[in-house]
Amino acid sequence: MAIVKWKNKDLYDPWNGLRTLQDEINELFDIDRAPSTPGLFDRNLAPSLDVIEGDQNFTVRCELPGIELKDMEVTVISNVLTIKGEKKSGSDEKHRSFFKKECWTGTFQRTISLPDSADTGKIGAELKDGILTITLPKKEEAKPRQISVKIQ
Amino acid sequence: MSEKEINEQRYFAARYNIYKTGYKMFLDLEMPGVSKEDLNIQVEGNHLMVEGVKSTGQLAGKYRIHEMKEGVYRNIFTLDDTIDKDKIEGAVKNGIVNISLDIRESEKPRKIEIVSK
Repeated sequence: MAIVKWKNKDLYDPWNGLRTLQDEINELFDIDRAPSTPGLFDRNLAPSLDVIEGDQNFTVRCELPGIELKDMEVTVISNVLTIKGEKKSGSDEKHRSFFKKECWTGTFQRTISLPDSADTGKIGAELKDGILTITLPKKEEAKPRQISVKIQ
Repeated sequence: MSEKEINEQRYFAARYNIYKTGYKMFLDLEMPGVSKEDLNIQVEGNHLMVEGVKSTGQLAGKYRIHEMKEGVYRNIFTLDDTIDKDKIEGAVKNGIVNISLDIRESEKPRKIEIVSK
């Protein structure tokens, strides 16, 4: 920086408020600052989800600890995928005296719209160690193809 | 473990419940993606460490939504003298780690025999 405009800080700057507002909004989207543990008033009832697009298929992964297969429902209507279910508390809940309770119980639902290239007719799902993995193959026309071109 | 190793490894705390049923304490930790083989429960002095390695690694492809964290769950709890450290059992099911801790016999209420003289 060779030459900078001199700015008198004592002068009133009408744009200053707008600039700090922009910084504040940017800070809101700074995900790294968010605490990793739920706060006092945070209710994180939506389970975490991953959607990965591979060469041959789409993989949807969802964290559902403590949820049985029978308490869960995965549906696809046109190209909208819905994962919903209920996390039940233990049957002897009434006899338990809690010292700390961070895990939530109750119903949850996550809905995502799938891309057109996903073949919803060949959907496969697996629940293992509290992680639900849904695999959707790509439609034939969406898969990457190698076309050899003859050069004459 | 050296400081460098700690910095390289990413740990995060799992959410947990602590509750008591009768004269037994229970600890439930939510560790999705942790199987029996990846779980390590240790008692050292009066510290109970629960460590679970997530088996779900990075998948090849583009992440359209990426909310699941990768790394190692690690929670450390302090046990007081009322816990019988020799009777700690752990189980894992559907991504929930359940640890049962017994309360020492000496801490339980006991009836005192009255001797008539």
